[in-house]
Amino acid sequence: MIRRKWSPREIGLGAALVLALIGLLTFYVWYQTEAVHLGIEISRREAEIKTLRDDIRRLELHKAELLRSERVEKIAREKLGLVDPKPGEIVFKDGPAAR
Amino acid sequence: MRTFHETDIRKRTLGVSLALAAWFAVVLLRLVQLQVVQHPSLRSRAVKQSQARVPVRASRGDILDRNGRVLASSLPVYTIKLSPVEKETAAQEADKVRRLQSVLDLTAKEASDILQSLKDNDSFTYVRKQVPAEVAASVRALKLPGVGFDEESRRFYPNGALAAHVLGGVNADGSRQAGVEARYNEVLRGVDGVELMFKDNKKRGYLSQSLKPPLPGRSISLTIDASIQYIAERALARAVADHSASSGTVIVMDPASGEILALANWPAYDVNAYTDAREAWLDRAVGSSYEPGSTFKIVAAAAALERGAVSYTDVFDCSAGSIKVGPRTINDHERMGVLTFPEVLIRSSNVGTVKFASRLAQADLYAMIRRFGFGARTGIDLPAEEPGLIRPVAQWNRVVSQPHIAIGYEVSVTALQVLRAMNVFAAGGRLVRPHVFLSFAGEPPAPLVGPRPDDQILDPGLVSGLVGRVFEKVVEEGTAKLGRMDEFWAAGKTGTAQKLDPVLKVYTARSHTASFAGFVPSRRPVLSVVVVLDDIKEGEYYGGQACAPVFRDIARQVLRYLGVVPERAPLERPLTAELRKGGRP
Repeated sequence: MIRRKWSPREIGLGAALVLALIGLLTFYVWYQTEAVHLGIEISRREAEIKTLRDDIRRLELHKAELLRSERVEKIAREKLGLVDPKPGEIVFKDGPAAR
Repeated sequence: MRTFHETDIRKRTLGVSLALAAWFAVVLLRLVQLQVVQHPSLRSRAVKQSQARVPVRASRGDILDRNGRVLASSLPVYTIKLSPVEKETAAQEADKVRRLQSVLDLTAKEASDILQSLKDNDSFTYVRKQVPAEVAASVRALKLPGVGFDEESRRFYPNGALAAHVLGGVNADGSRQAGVEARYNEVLRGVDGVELMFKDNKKRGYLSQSLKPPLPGRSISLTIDASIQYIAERALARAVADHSASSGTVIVMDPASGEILALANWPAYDVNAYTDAREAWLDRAVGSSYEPGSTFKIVAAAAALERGAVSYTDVFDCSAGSIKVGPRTINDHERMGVLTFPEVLIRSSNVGTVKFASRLAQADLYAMIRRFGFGARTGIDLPAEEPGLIRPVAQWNRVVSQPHIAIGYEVSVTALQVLRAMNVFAAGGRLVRPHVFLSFAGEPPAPLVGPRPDDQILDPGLVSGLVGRVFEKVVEEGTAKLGRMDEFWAAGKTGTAQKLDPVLKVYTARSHTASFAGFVPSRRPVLSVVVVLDDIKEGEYYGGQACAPVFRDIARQVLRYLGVVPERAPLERPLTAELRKGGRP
């Protein structure tokens, strides 16, 4: 059996092809891994955005709870000692309207 | 010594080639088996491992008052569940449950139930349903194996019981609603979506693809003003307590547009605990009817004037204090002497009303009742509205029905119908359609129904005559003088009705429904208000004494809140005016 002798040029070309293939595969694997990592990061950030939005809603609701008329009146009357104005104690800019 | 010949090499090459071919054939067959024969099942397994169709819940729209104050909003909550973990020992399970117990404040029984469920190898057990996000985050931080979280949505009502019967409520899974939550459920709930989530080997999602985007629910603004609602509820609660009434209703409406500014019922309930408040669910303002008594006299008065059956100068002898109608006797609350037509209404004489109503044909009275909208739903955009009961003339008793109906018996009406009827006099003779929907949030108000020609049910001249000659004087010097305000002229009509004993089937003097319907300022109305107190047990039970002061308190505060300039300067001390018995105004 006679084996053909590879020329240095052919060996170089083959090696280059193998290297290119390995490089391509490495790039592909890196690309896939990076895509997954970025996807996970995006999902994490999206979840973070959702949590922050929910926090804003929760704080808005808490604000609405704190501004409840019943609570505000209680504080005004009991803590600040405010009372309803008596008739005549409110001065209107236009005064009583003529009938 | 053996030497290799070419034939040997060929044989071996052939053998290796055959072996390789056989190996390749096996690989090929296996490939066919996997890629062709088992393709569907393997594909579904692969998809199951790496992808998931995740439902995306549409957020429920908010409900705001007319000034943008939040009345209802939704927040995510989490249901925590626990599944058995392979090779976990009983001690590890107990430790896990103990840690959950400390964070979630579980009772000893709840903890033992969860442990039992793990022992029974149930696929999962609920640890705690609908916990807030911050509690779920503390459980998540424990990183306990087998603990899962289901995200859900829960409705929150930051004002508690405020406008309970308008808002209604939603149960935990959103499948049952009441009030506006039910009426506008289609708009508020939105449409759920679906997304495809790609997961890595650790089941972490790294890419999502929307298959059907969710359509969030739309937020709506109501005509309700949270401050006016609060004023109405506070005044109603005080009146119910002062008179030991079993229930009560207040409705405040904008006379021109029919926008409901406040709708309060007592008993009410915390809307956050909607499902636990079954006994208080009834929206009495629209869903419960009663015999109105004297407030219904406005219908007979309008019919008699329009048909020319009476004039303002006609007089009626009410000195007997009672009148015989067939086998029955109708009484006044006191002897009143000879009264003019306006005085009959100002002093709410049953005898006088029976006398002027007797000049009407039954069909004319019935037609006017229907024109005022009684016996039919008002069309308010709230569920479970009652139409009330107005029997057709053919079913009336020939002798007693007309007199009884003229003074507000033998008919059944809702508080909203009475308000709408009185509002005809505030709106220049127009019958408005009450409503609670103002607009989609952030959009300009869009009237549901514009005025129709047949909304004008009374001549404006007749209306202004009745307002100026009768209904103002009811408040200034008549049965509702406790509803008088120093700063404004108001108009209205009181009502006091004995209740029918459900067992004896007779009217009892021990149980009354008191009411007052009015509007203020009487010539340029800003508010129409109805107050109804049912089954008063303590104190005065007349509409003028129990309900007119509630009207006055609400009107005074709301007009001040709205910045309405007083019509007349307030006096140093309250002005009281009283008619002498039998005197004329």
